[in-house]
Amino acid sequence: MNLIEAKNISHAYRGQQVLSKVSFSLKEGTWTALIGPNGSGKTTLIKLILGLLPLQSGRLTLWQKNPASELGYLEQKITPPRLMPLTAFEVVKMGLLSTKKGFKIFNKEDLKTALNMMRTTNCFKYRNKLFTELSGGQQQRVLLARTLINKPKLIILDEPTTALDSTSRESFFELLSKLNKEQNTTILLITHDIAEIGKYATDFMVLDKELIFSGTKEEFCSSEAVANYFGSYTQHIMDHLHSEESCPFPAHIHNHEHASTEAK
Amino acid sequence: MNPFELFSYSFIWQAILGGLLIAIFTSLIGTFLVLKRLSLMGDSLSHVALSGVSIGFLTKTSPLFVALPVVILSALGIIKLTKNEKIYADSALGIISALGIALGLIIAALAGGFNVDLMGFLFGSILTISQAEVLLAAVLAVLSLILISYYYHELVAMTFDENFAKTAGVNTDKINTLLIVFSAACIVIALKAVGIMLVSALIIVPPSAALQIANSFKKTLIYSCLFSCSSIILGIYFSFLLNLPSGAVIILINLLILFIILGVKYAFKKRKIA
Ligand SMILES: Nc1ncnc2c1ncn2[C@@H]1O[C@H](COP(=O)(O)OP(=O)(O)O)[C@@H](O)[C@H]1O
Ligand SMILES: [Mg+2]
Repeated sequence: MNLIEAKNISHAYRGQQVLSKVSFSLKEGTWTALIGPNGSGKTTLIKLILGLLPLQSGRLTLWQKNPASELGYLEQKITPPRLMPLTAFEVVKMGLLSTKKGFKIFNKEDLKTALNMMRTTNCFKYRNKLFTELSGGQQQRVLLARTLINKPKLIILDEPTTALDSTSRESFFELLSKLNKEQNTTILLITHDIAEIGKYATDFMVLDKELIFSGTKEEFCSSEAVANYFGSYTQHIMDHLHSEESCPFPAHIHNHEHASTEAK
Repeated sequence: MNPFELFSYSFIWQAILGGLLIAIFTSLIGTFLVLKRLSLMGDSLSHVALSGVSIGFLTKTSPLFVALPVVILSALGIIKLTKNEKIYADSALGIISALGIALGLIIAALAGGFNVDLMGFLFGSILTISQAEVLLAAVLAVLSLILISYYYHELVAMTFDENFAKTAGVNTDKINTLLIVFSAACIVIALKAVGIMLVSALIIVPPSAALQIANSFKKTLIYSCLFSCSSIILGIYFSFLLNLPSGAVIILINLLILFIILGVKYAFKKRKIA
């Protein structure tokens, strides 16, 4: 079953085109790595999927009309009010909001679920601290707990590991991997590091304003489009894909923003 | 004068009751506005109220009841303006604010200039609050409690992280509009207590003080409400005792609470470091 089907999605901010005719489908149970240089439209694409931006053109079909309760989203960067008087625990509990209707009450069971989820993502220790007083990495674990607490069918993560140290990154990915394998949770993960995700991802999407490639990992490794796009860097990527060494998105591939401003 | 003599007057009790009701809804709604960085909204809407009140004088109707729809409509206008990508939100507030004052001054001049009644609206006159106004304040206080308890989790989530709230299925546009329109009504009625010049302080100061010491959202709401209510009672008492303008005394006591909390917090921090 396809959870997402996108057809010819284009998007422009104040007349500047950032996505052009993007079409793809996302199969249930896959772990898709969405990669692309800075400013290539990755965040824009998932904001369209999530309904955070209005669809300007193209067609987008999700597995159901109101997917909120089956959806987990971890944003690239959140900026809560500096004085927000909310503990880490209360932030995690917030993740259950989508499962409630009408007058919302959290029962004992919910509180237990939240505490357990905090143990799972390793942030139980600071459950009673104010969220805004935690470090970037600690905040990220709390937000991951909030994302996972409603047992989503689809999890969308936007560069989730930038604030984490390497051991935390490892356990972060292991946790997602467990969900993917044991509960068939579908994962769409935006990342910069191709090799790091290579160990886990089953599918790849390469975006650079247009969709350069979309397919399984095997197809990715043998794709001509990928080879053309990455040029001399392709071999480097393929070498790293199955190793543990990091392999950031090649710096020499300029994004369209640069290309178009240079052209002007 | 016997310092407790004032409590023998029934109009004092009416003023205290009205003032407490006003303190309840302004401090509760204010907590959300302050955290959402919308505290200047109160300022702009109160300036618009000058236009509304002046229209009331010009048409010889009830200034407060005329100001109500005028300010609510402007609040809807502000929501529209802030959604316009070409204007910054704070500039939009400044624009509406300027319009409110300029129009208000012209209409007030047409209505016969600045008289005692208009001064009452500029600087507040809680001692002259009418029964109808107390009733209206009671309705708003009850509505604010209902609104906040019904949408509590949604409001907290939206204040913390609006994108998350949206993806969790919260109708953020609806709740934002509700919050802002309701704030508009609150501001108009709160004019009675401290006046156009100071009403935004009732929205901003008690929540700011509460945020310094509360470690949870519910406590912030409770402290904010307690601070505001105490300053109403103390403010009315001291203004009567010392024969000073009540609105100004109420706000000064609110500020005093904030400064004491900030001072104590600062002293504690120093001791911890030393
Ligand atoms: N709200 C916005 N207004 C105007 N331009 C934007 C906005 N958000 C993103 N952009 C532009 O759109 C392009 C794509 O951005 P984004 O989707 O965030 O890229 P990525 O996530 O791949 O780094 C960039 O050039 C960025 O500057
Ligand atoms: Mg991005």
